[in-house]
Amino acid sequence: MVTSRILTRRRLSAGAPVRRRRSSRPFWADIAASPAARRLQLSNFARVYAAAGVVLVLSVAYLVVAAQATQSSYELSKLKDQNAQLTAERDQLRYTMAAQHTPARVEQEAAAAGMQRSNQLKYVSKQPVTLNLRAPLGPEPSGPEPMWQQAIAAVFGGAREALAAGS
Amino acid sequence: MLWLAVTALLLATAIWGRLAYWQVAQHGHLTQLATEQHLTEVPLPASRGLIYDREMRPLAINTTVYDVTLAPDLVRADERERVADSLSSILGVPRDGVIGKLAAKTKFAYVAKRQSKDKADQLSRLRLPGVYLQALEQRSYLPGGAGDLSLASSMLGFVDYQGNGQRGVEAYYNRQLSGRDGFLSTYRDLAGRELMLSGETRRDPVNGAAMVLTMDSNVQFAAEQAVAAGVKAAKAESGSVLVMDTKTGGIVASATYPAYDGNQFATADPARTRDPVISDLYEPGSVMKVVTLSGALDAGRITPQTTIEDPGYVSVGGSVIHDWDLKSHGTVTMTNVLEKSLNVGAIKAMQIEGRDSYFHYLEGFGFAASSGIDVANEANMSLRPATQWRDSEVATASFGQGIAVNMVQMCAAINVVANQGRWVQPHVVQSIGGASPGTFASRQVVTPQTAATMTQMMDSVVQHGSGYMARVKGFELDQAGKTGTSQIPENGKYSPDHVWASYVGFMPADNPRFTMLVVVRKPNNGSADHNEGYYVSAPIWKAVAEQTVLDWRISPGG
Repeated sequence: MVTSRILTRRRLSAGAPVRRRRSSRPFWADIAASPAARRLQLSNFARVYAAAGVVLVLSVAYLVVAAQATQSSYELSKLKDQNAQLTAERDQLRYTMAAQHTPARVEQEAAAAGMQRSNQLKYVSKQPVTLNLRAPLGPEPSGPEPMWQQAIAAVFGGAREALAAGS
Repeated sequence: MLWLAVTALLLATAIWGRLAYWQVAQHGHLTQLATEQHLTEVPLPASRGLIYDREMRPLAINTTVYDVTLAPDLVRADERERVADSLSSILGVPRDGVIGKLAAKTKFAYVAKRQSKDKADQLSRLRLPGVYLQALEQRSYLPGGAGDLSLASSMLGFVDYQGNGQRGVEAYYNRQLSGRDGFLSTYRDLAGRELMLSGETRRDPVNGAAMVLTMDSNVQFAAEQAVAAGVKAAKAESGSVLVMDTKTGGIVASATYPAYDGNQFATADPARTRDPVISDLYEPGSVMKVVTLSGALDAGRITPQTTIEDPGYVSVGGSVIHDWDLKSHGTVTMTNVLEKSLNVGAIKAMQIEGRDSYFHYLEGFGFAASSGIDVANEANMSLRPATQWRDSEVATASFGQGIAVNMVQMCAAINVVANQGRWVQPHVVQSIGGASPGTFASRQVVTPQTAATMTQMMDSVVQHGSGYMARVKGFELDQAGKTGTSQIPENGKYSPDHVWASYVGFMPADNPRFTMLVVVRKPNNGSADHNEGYYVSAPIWKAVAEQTVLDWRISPGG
């Protein structure tokens, strides 16, 4: 049944440009329903193949990720083992080094080299020293220089340098 | 129809009830079971703190050892011979035993425990099927002064297979040294593989603190050599040397022979793992006269020139007590009493001083309580109140019989004289984790003047008296000492044959650097005279002192 309101609307729309209504369906349904899609419509077998292909791709992707995880896990485990090995070697070296420096080892080495420990203590008797340790520190106060040194100093710029140059 | 409905209702109720039982009542238990199956906690053991001597030379360090295990069900029959031959040749285990374990086809068996890294490496290279290595941390100690000992084993103690310190410093500071273990908690799949992305709970381990001792490895080594030689020469049961830093009370060396190898604690004689320096009491003998006379001097009751008559014996409380030589010595000064080690003189000095004053000084010198040294298992016999002592007991105590002390207490008491009259608490640890372990107690016991006077009297013992065998060349006029020989109580009475022979001293006398006590137990040199402290212990003291003088660059007079 066509109502008068519908007819009126048809009349009005015949002259005016068609305004596309927003579809309530999702966009992919529109694409599927499009003519191009209809031309590409797959047979049932093709659908099965496509699904299998998708599953295969996903499986391969999963395998790749799993393989990477396994590889990482393996490498992590290997590194842990290496770390433990290095720690053990460090500890062993530390012990060896410590043992090398023990008095027992030093004495053993000395004995092997033909050395003997002497228990005879010897002390160096100190000689009496004539230095006056109570004397004030610093250079001794010098008196006035002789006339001839003063003359040389006036010519050459200093008595010590002149004497050194002449020696 | 009704019975059908009732039956259905009953069945439904039973099923619902069972469901409710598992899901509600048993919820917690089942959750726990599931967690236990999926969640694995991996322990992350903390590394034990290392121990160093005062010069930062290692004394106890950690090494990795390996337990070798076997999964017999993973070894094919045709490979058993090869596996058994390899394990036998590398580990030295009986081949037949390994074959037996392999034939048992169990899932797990130990082959050998705590094997060195070299052996573990050899096994790894062979890639033997069903053979596994489990790494473990082990405490390792350095070689000591006698062939079968590790350095300072008595004082350090050892760490058992569970990682707990036993005896000595290892036991006393176990908490600080062991740190705190961590753990890693992760989820695992049915095959036991870790679920990498499942998240994990981790608590990092806190390693134990490194510890620096007051000990000097070189002096310790010299002490171990000297005491081993001395004990062997005297055919004695055992002997110990204790060296203390005079000013600080830090233990420089503590050596005992025979002792044990801390690396082989599992096979050591348990009696040898006990440290007699700390854990055994002994009667100090005439060494105690230093304490008796110091108290009397400090109380102002005697001087070094005070004279007494010594007929060679004295009667106290109904008992007759003799001098060691059973001879009369006539009129003697207090200096003579110390030089000649006269029991009668010590008793008379104590009597002049008075019982109460005598006990006051015994307490001051540290005999009323343990020394407080930071080493496990210190033995101590509390001092009975003065009123509970019979006169004869006090008399014998004045020359060191009938009073039991440990070596640390005795050495610390003599150190009072060396340290200008001040008692300082003996201790072993200088720092823990870079920090000081705390303050050590000290107290003034006698005046510096009294200490100086007693030092002169002890000088005289070395120059003119029984201490002549301890003279160190160059220090003859600058070393203080005292001999001691005490009978050992056996079966309720004093043994006529068995003695503790001791010597104590410090040097240089005018500015002491170390105080040393030597005790030899049950020397057996063939004659009573040759079992005396002057003959048995003084030479050991001298040997250690000579080495210490060299190591510490000590010169006479300074």
